Amino acid sequence: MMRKIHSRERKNGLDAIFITQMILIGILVLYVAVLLFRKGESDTPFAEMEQAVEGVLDNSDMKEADHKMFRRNYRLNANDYDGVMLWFREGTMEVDEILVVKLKSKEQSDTVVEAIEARKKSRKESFQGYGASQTKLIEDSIIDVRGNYILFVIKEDAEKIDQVFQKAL
Amino acid sequence: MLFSSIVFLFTFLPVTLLVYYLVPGRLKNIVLLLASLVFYAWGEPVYVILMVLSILFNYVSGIDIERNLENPFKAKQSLVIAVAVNLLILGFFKYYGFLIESLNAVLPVELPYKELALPIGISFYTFQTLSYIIDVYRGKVQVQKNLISFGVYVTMFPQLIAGPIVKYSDVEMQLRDRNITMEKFGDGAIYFVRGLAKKVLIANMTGLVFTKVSAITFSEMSVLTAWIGCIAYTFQIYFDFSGYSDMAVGLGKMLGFEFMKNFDYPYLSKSITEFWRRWHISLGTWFREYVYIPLGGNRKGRERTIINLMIVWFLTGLWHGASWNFVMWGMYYGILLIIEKFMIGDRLEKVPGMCRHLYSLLFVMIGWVFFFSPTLGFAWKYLGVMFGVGAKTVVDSMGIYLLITNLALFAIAAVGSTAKVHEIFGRIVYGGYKVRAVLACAIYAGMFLLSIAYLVTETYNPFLYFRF
Repeated sequence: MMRKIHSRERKNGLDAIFITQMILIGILVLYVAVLLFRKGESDTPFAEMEQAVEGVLDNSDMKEADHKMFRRNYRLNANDYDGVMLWFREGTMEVDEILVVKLKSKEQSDTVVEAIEARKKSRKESFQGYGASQTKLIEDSIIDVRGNYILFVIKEDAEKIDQVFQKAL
Repeated sequence: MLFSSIVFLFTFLPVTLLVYYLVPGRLKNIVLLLASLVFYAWGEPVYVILMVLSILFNYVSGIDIERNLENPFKAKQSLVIAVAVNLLILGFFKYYGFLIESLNAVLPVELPYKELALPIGISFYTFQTLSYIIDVYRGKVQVQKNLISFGVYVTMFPQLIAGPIVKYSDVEMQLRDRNITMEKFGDGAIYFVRGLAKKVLIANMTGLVFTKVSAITFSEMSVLTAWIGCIAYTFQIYFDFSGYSDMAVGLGKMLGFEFMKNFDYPYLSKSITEFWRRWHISLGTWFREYVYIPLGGNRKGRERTIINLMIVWFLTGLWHGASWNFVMWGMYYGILLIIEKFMIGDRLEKVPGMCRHLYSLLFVMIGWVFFFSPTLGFAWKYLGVMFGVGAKTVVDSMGIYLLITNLALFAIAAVGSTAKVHEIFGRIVYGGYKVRAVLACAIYAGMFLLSIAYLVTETYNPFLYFRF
């Protein structure tokens, strides 16, 4: 029966299966195009993002830094951005650090990433040669740029924090 | 979602199993499909759409191939379209960035590109859909007209993200009708707990040693330290991947499925050829069946066999990752296998077993250096240090410290890599006496509790094979 329907369709120039295949390929191409060209801006309020990331830091001894410290470490002004959140661990041998920045415009992205790279470099230089585990943590740090949000993590469970960050977007 | 995560162990799995066992037989596949989609979407909410599209496309392609089987040209045309689309999807998501980066390295101009994150498990599920499409074309399996059953085959959460790569022909019957018993459930639970303990108690611990070593700069690394790092990784990858595979097989059994075993004590091998018969068996089987044999295998003379082997091992390396060190790793094994097949195979047989065993382990460990290195340059430097080139010294205090503090761990891992533990354990607990059953329960409960205790205190530890 199925075969009869197929052959009738093909004779009439209508091949449902072929058309379905082509539609699916079209949707696939469209899907990939959307992934490639989407602006990727998140409308998540900064407070919500802060709450999500801080949620993972429960029971940890990390402290929240003020805007002065952000300016000292990254040479950026927190007021230029929609939101800045910086957490760190106290101690001369501690490197754990988490920074989340919500940009006002995408043009700010390069500046922030450069500042993060500079911070990462200076932290690495501080520990290179004697702090093997700290150097490794800095090397394995994550810089995740997602549209108008940027995350920088130096922490053993950096990937977990990155996942939380991505989910909150 | 990770098998070794609290949310999987204490929420997702119990709820899924409860619903799965409560619903009547005809609804079990629907429950399994929905659970698998949730499992995947947990970590990949965007890419679940890609997987659904892949399921729909391959489902329709299977029907298209089957209806054209009487016309060989048309059937082949349908097959080529289906295979090409699958490979294009895999190629785009996995190799596009690598390709552009490689071109940028040699071209005078910089080609702009936006690299997308790799969808988890894409290499595994694409190989599964390819096995289905090719087997339908070969007439080896019946076309699957039930979309739910086909969706279950592609998405089944136990083996979705890191294998074993299940061929459609192996589960065709099971998708329709499978044996679900409490004995099988219990057997599956044992596999699962064993796999969890392998991952959490051994792979993660040896992984810590490897992380410590890899944090040391080459100029500060001794020969001993480099070897300790390599040994640690050798154990880590085995217990990590085989642990995952045991969990996958166990979960499959709990749901009534039987998957092929993916490991057979590979570190007991006495040749590289034997190693690859025992390591990641499902991938080796896939390449043999769908690439090596169609290329002519060893039936077209020595030269053609060599070319075929190199093609297969180039692809095996590339399958593991879009990076030149994986390509190198694959080619390394291709060359070793060719040497064993055509040059030293017979002579190797006459060498004492222990020497052959050491030879295999040595070359496998060298192979892992290419595998764990972020770049080819890193791999050469690391290998150099292992053999004294560029090393700080032969033995240093760090190396001795790492050796002494991890000797017991390495000894446990070494014994655990053999069949002995399993044999002895089996003799002790499966004697048929009631008291032994209680002992078995106590041992597995202990392993489970220890793993959980470790999981709640430790940080995020994904499986190594997730990135493939």
